[in-house]
Amino acid sequence: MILRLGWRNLWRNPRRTFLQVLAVACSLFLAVFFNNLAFGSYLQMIREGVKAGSGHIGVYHPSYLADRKIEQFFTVASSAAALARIPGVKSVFPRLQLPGLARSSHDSSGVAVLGLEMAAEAGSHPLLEGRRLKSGAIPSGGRGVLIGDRLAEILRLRVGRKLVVMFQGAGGDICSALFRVAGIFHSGVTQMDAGVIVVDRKELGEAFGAPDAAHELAIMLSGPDDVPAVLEAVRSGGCLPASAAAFPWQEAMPQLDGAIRIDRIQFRFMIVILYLIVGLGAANTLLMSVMERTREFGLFRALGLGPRAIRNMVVTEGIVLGMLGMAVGTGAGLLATWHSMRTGIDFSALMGEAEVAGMLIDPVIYSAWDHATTFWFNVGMLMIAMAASLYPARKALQIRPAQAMRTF
Amino acid sequence: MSGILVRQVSKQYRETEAVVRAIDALDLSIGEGEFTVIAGPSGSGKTTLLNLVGGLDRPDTGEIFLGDEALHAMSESELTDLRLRRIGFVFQAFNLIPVLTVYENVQFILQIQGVAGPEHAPRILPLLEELGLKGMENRFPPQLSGGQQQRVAVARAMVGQPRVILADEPTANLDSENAVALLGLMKRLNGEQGVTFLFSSHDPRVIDTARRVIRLRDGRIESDERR
Repeated sequence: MILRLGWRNLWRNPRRTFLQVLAVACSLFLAVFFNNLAFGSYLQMIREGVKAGSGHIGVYHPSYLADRKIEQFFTVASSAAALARIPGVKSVFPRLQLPGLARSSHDSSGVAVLGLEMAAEAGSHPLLEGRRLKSGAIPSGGRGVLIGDRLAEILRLRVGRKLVVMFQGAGGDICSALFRVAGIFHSGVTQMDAGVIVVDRKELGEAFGAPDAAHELAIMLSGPDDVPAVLEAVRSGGCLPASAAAFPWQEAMPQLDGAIRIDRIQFRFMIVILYLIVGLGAANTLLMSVMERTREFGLFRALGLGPRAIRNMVVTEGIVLGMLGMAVGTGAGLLATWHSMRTGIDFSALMGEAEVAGMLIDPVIYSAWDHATTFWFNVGMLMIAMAASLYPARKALQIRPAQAMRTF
Repeated sequence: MSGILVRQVSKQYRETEAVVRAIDALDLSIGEGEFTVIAGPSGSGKTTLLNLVGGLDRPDTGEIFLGDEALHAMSESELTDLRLRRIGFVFQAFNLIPVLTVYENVQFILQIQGVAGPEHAPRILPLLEELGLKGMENRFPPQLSGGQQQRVAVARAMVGQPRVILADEPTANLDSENAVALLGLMKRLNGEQGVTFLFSSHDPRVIDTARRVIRLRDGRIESDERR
């Protein structure tokens, strides 16, 4: 009966109820849809980030992430193949990373020399994607290198031209190697376009003085959810190179993890503000509804309805109001998520080439299901609806039957 | 025992700057099953007296007993429970719940009394039939005439099987025909079920029907006439 009363009372003023339901629904829609969109973008950021960065799990000298010293390398030997056999591991990429100086006949510039296994990483590493090539081709090995378009401008290099790269060797002495530009890429990340040279790892290793050296083993998994279990297996599997340790991507790329965390916190803060506004609106609606029915609440008290039942009646109205809006808003949010999972939303007109934490993110964002947060958004809205009804309920309880009804 | 005993009860209200003495050291005793009218001009204290006897308001001084229960000493929740189980109310302005049907308005009392669902229909439907409301169970109050609404209010007051029914100006919003019909009905219920009826009214039709007429003036009993 209380539920029936609550439901019917809401429709005594359909326009007011409709507007409040709309406010709740719009909030839930915004919360659910944009959270799922943001969640999709985080997954995209992680996906792109781990390809160019540490992998889902990165293997390094224990101090490398803090110090980034050249001598903190290890020998790969059979460890990459052994790690690749661990269930859940899709691939393992050894990488050698050296700071150096690139010199052409015109100029010189400080660079990061990135030694990759070109053939193995061809379909994975963002810098080896054909769509990023401005000219030339991706080298399959040898002394051909890829350089960024900005660096090519600085050194006045074109495809086919030679350059000399100087760096510190494994033994501490200064080494230099001659390379030829095989391709010029444009990543959109200034730091990469102006300062990265991609070289075959074996070629670089030989020039470095340690042919099988690597600073990083990037372990790729199916997704970030697999990290805890596989990390445990990697750490306990006994197949890590000597003097190396495994780190999850969050520790290996704290800038990316931090960027996602900050974005998530900002988004949730906005949701809290939005919910508070909706809560005040709901409280206002219910309070008006209670005040308009002062006489009726007086009647309820006169007929013997206890305080608890009266409070339940008002709270029920708040909950029904909230749940109506939640159903509509969540439904619309899930529908919009489903649509944007398939088609994606192209933000290139708004943000051009998006760089996050030194990594290039595709401007076409695809939503992803974040069921847990969607659930908690609904729980939160339900709590807001209940909280918004407490003050009106208190007001209803303060109504004295004799006063409310004037004539009893 | 469902008689009403009012002993040296006073009640005053503060209105802006003046203090209005609505009931002044009033003594009254109404026996079980009596059909009594409180008459008097506006402002004589009729409604205040009914509010006090119905536990809707508290006396400043004095004692009020309903049977052997001391209303003046009860907590708010005890008064609420007493109103629910012992007293039926009929209001001048009907005061039906507009979003509930005729049946649901009557059922409301059984619900809050905690009467089991299967008992509702056997108690409500005969009562509605007796009050001439058969076939109107699913109508909402705005779809009824004033007389029909007041009969629903009587059904609501009766369904909880109270021992006392308090009615404030029950015929004030009714035409003559409906007023006479309602009074006849109440008198019949009083005769058949022995429920104590206490009215406030200045309607001569109501006053003529009563077996006992208590006239108030300035919060005091001016006359107490038994017929």
